[in-house]
Amino acid sequence: MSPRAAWRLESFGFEPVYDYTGGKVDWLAAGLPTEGPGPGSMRATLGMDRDVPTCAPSEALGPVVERVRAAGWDVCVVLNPAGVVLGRLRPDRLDEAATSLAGAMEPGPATVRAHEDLGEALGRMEKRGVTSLLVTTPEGRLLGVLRRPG
Amino acid sequence: MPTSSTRDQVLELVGSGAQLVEVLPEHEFEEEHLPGAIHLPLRRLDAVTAEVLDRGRPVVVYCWDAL
Repeated sequence: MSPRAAWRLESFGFEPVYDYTGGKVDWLAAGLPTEGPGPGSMRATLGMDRDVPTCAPSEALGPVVERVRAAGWDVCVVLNPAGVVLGRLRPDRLDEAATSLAGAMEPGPATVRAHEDLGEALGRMEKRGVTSLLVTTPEGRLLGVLRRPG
Repeated sequence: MPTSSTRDQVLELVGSGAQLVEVLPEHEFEEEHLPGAIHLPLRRLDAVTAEVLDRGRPVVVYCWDAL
């Protein structure tokens, strides 16, 4: 739809004209602000914690575990320098043989997009017995974490 | 020829003064739209309705998704 509109605007003499190909869904999925009352249901962004601990895969395992526990969290998200999720570290479920953070993290954790329905996401978590679910942008950048009592 | 743009490019363009145009139907725009967007539904987009736009500024058009 937007490519046709862009071409029409150009034919009316407007320039330059850009087509945001990702559209509104891409904007919402990235957790960016909008105007208007919204869809009438809560989105995942409204239920997430943004202050979830994060770490780099190159950090030492012990100090990170201590930091996460001291902050009262049971999960730490492992990020690359661009803020993209690489994995999840759960201090209470560590493999005792693990010596490095990269070796101890769970790669490829399940994620949900920012615009998804909060109730549906929590229902999915309950069905699968999951206590935390990461909220990311379409590029995999961390926005926050949804938590459900275990 | 219109230029395809990513989200990051759109943020930059809007920050530099580009005008955002949503071409979805009325109820979709009313429910939720990008900050500051102008509503020009595709079905009503013609040379006359388009005159609400500023010819001196770039235009960024969007709909729901890439389909």
